[in-house]
Amino acid sequence: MELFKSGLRSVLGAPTVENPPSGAETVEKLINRARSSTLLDDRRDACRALKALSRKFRMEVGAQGLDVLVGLLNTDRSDSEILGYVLDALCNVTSKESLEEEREIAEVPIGQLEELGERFTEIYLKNPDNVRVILDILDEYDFHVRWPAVKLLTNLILNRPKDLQECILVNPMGVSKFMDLLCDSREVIRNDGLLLLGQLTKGNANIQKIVAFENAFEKLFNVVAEEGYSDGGIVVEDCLHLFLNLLRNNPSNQTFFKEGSYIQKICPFFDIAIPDGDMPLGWPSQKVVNVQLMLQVLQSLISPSRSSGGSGEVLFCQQLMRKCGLLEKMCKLLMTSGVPADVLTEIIHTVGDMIRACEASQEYFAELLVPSNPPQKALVILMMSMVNNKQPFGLRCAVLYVFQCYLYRNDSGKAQIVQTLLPSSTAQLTSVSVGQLLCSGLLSTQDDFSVWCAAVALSHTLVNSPQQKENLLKVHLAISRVGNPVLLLQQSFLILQQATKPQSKLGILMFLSQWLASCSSAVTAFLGLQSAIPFLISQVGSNESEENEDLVQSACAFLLGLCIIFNSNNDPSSNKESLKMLIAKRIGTEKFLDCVGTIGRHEIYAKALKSPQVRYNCVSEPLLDHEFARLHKSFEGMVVSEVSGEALKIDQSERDLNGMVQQLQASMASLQLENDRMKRDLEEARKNALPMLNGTLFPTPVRASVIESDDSGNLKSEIDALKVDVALKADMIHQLQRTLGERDATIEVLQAQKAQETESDNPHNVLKILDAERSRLLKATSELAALRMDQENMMDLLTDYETKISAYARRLKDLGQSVDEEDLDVNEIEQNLAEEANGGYC
Amino acid sequence: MSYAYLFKYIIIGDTGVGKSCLLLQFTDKRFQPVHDLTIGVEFGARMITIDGKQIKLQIWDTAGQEAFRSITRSYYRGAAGALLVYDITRRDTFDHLTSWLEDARQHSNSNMVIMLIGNKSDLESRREVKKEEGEAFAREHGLVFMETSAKTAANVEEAFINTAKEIYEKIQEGVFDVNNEANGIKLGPQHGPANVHPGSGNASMSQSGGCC
Repeated sequence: MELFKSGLRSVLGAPTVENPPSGAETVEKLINRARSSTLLDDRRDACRALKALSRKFRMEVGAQGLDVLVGLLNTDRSDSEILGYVLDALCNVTSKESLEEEREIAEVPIGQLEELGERFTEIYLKNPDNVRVILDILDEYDFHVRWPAVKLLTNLILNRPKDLQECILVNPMGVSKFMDLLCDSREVIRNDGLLLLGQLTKGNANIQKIVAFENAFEKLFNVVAEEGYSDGGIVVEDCLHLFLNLLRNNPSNQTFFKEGSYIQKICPFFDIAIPDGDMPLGWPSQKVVNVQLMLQVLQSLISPSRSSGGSGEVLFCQQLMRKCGLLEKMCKLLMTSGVPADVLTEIIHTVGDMIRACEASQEYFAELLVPSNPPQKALVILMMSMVNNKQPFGLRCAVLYVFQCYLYRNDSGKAQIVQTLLPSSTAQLTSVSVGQLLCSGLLSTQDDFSVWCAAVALSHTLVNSPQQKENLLKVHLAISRVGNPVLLLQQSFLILQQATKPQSKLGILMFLSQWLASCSSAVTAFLGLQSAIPFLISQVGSNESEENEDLVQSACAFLLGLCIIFNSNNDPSSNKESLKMLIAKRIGTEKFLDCVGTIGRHEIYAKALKSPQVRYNCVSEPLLDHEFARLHKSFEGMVVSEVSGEALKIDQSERDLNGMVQQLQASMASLQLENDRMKRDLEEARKNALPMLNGTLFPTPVRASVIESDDSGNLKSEIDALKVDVALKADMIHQLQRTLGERDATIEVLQAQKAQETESDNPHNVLKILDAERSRLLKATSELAALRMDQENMMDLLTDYETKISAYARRLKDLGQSVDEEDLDVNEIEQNLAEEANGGYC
Repeated sequence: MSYAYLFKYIIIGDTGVGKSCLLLQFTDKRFQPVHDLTIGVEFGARMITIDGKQIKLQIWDTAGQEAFRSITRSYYRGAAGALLVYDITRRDTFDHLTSWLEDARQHSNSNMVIMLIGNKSDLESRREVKKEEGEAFAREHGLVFMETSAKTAANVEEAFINTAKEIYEKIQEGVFDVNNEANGIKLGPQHGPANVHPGSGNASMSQSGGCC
């Protein structure tokens, strides 16, 4: 402590010694008394004075007295008055903000004073026992002890959040003591406890889980209910912040929330009374905040960007929300007048999340009627807002989002929307339809954002929907009362040509891309439009340098690419080859390929690809759509390989595989050579044996002795050599077999990987390559098998021939010649060896 | 779904003994052979029926690694049941049971039901801990014992359900205070905290349905 004191002095300047009763001296005296006095009253007085002085002389009290004060917390645990003073003093010492009194006499800049709190916190937390002491004290019921203990912990966590979190985690009962604060009947303590928990759970998943385990959701719902749900004050807001801390990015807690039936408990929160008559004042600002936060709580469970748990968990929550009536309440609010625009926007987003990819909820949403006269579909009313530039921008974005969510994996929904555009539908004439609204949006060329929204919305009716792509080709628009109806496709292209802003251009280009992808009749129709190709070529080829114009060029190039991939090749003037030649001639293949990729390198693209729910700040910001980004991702590779005329690059692992196969083949070739050599050896051995054979046919003593002394020995050594050879070969074959097996496994793994990776890219080429590899290996395997057969045959021959040798040897013996006994056993050994080798490769 | 009681469980034991697999087998009826290290704690839940009553099990699967030991300790107090798991093919996991038990006894409420589980019973050929040894340990420390296989699902249901039965009996005997949530037991939403008399053995509790 002395060391620290001097350290602080050297930092903050030595106190002036001349001033007679300096604060430092008084503090020192008081600390001595608090430490050494044997009388409880004395210690208590000293603490009271220290508490008072700590506001003015925090540095002195902290530097000299921290240890003493903490010591008192242990020794005078039973005296609540002392505890209270000490805790108050420690609160002052660790305060994050500078205190009024100290500012008055401050000799140092205020910023430095504020640093003091953090430095004392650091010292305090060095000893984990210091935290344990306060946690123990938290059990005290006395208000003057419990409250400052909460405040001290709050100071500590504000100054050093990570350190305190670690200390709490080491303490098995730590978190539950915090949770007990939520049940304190004194509101101040409960509310401060709430704030403390809010800080404690920030960014620490383990603490979040323990807090949830300790029934936090239950307790928080109780507080929220006590405070009057959405009409409650800031305490409700604090509760909701804690909810969000516990749920965001914490799959375990999200599951627990769902399993604990807490979703149902949210319902009363949205029982928002519809005011009678006009309510000019609107909602109180606290209510706006409360409702928005609760909407975020819901979103944390069902947003498509929910980090994990998979779509199954999300679907489960969505269904729960529909079944318990939350979706209904939300939709009711949607149509309630007087809901502030910000809240409405958030509600629309939440409804979007609630219905996305959830069939029954999408149906519910589609059937929703606005209680107007005559009743109209809510979807129609919402779409009106989207293409109306008088409406707030955020709201229009939200409507586009909810529309996308409605159509996501909803084939009948897509069909219904397109149906409203088809000429046969006469029933819709009386009232305005979604389709009509979208087309009018497309035509409102004065409002680029309307064009963009309408184009994107239309493109979503086409995602993965070949039928609607065909249907949309039949759609005509009656632009003016006098002129002939124009095809939607033609009109869209016209809008594209006339558009001046990147936003509307991109909108139409994304719409067309979605339309033409995987639909060759749409491609044919598009290529049939006058000047379609020249326009795209000129766009890609131009050297515009305006902002975001590069995106437009890239989208044009991509559309051109789609025209090539999905070309029906019927019209020789615009078939694949002629288009490719056109590109090469007018743009240059290199430039074209580079241009196609431009969009994918953009930051906006990365953002759009990441999540279907993108929040924008201003009306010119929306440029790329999520589904388009996905489309681009799946077809970019195909466009590039088609136009460049090269097969897709074989990646490194495949190249390695190639190398391995080559090596394998080389070793097989050498094996073949070996085998041949062996065969020759065998042949020779047989030849060598022939004289003996002859000899035995015409046995003479001389001959026999020659055999014994010479040939027999030769033969034996040769057999030995052969034995070794055979063993070696067997071994080699065995090894090769194993390597081959491994290779096979590798190939299978790679194939599986490839199949996964390239599912959307271009599986065919890669698979083809892999298949080729596989058949090469299969061939190698069969060659090996053939070799093995050879080997076996050889072995048989060897055995055969050895049987003969021993037979002859026996005969020689019978004839009176002495033959080495071993020769008789050769047969047996050879047999064993053959069996062993055979066993080896089976 | 409505339930008469809610029990909180924890699963403890050395790393790699199959705690997460037991939970997955019990909640999802599937087996995942790849060992995915549990970080901190994971949550799972399932409904079971005992004595004609719906009982909701909330299960916290803890990390076995030493580094997470202190975090695990935070879960003992609020749990009504614990599955203490070892691996019958790894003697060391059996040897560590004493320290786990000490931990559990020190930090939990004294009535917590502990079920000792020898997991991986499908790997008979690699067995290192005899079944009798597990039984003896359980007898000595007053635990319920069972050998399970998260892979074949053998005895997995039983392990979780028997633990629940034991807790249920303790409630009937009046050992557990159902109104104190710190015991890891909660009454279902349809039962007011006051109207259940522990020990009455009231089997005619109404099965109210309809609440979502």
